[in-house]
Amino acid sequence: MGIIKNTYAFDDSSILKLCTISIPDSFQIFFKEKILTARNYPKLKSLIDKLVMQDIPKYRFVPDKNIDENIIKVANQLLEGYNIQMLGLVFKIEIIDQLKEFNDQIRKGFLEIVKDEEIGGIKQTFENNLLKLNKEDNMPQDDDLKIIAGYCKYECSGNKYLITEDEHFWGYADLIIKNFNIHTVKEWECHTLNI
Amino acid sequence: MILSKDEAICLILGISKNKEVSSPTKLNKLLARLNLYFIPIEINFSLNKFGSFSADLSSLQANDYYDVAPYSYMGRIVNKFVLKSKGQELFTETIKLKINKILTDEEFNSLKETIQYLNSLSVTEISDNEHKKLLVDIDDRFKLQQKINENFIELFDLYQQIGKLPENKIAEIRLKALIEYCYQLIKYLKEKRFELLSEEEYDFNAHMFDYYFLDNISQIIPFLNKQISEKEKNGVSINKFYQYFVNSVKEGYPFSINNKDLKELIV
Repeated sequence: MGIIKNTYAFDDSSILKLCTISIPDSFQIFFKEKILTARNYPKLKSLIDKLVMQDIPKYRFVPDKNIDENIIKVANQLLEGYNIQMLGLVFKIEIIDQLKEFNDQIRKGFLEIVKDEEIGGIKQTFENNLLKLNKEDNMPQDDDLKIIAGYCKYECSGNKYLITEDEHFWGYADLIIKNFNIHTVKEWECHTLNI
Repeated sequence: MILSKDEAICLILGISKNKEVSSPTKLNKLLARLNLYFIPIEINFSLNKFGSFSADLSSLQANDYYDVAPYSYMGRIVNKFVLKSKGQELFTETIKLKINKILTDEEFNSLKETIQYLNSLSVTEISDNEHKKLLVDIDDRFKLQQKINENFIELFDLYQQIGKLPENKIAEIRLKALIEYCYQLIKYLKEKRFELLSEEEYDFNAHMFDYYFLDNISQIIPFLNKQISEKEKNGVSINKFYQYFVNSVKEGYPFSINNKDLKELIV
């Protein structure tokens, strides 16, 4: 009997939150530290460290056509709660540029799962079981469904985990495990995973 | 994005005929000219009566990327700079990739032609042209004052509009950030750097970036006006201008995001 290997895949936003933003000198007066990290950074980093220690590969989904949108989303989240009293837009672009560079570099550290374009059946399953979410749109976007479709097709001997902060996934966690055999892990709980 | 000193030198040598520049002074002038092409380089320039000058370039030694080769010219020994194979490698594998993020192929070819043309001129000819273009001569001070005021008003108008613009795409946010930065920069130039334009003495202590920034802001105002109303933004050019204004000066120039006291200059 072979060794059962679980698969740990991260959505792009969660991967971007592993970036530590170095704050240019002129903006440091608005922060306590010289670096800026996402709220869930320590938890994500803890999971990544555990995976690295046990030599377990990390996965991401490709192609990442929506990466710019995700970068903007993460940049906005990083800025939440701060009042940058000068050149606020410039600071946002500095964050965006660092996230872009981080994304280019980190690609090599993640193996790829290809998103699948055939989402007709999956879409139907969601439409038949639509839930009321906190998000504006209750229905997952097509790109979310492509991630599920791609992950479904991906062959793995153990469990499949999807680490995400997107309510379109964790809001439908029961539906996703039941129909697609994928465990959705809320980003802010990812450090509790037993590897 | 910024080119290091060696990368900037290899860029100039790489696009020059025979991959060489005939003297340190000319190399200095050609490197300075990259500023008028919005290419951020890690070299500071000051103003002297021969135009832009960088102390960083006064004692360049040969290294892995380029050679310094002495030759005799009108009875004097002059050093010329020649690109080495490792410099060519740096040009192809690093510099060109950086340049591709800010210049289109057409713009790169235009830069190449200009550098080759300037390389064919004498140092004095390059300096004269730069002085005239940047209005650094005493006789042109009134034009300089006029230019500052006009640009300030234009930028003020643009700055008033950015609150209404969307932030759905990176190019949109970057355009707004570029306008925000240029507005604060021109305000700083007007109120601090050019506040007391001397009419009698040549400004030997001026920082060349005062002039580069002022001239370059005036160059991009029509572009900013057009982009503000365009639905599809020109991401490459917006990025070029942004990288130039924000990253050209790291240390030694007060208006920089790397100056911990920048807020005092803005408030």
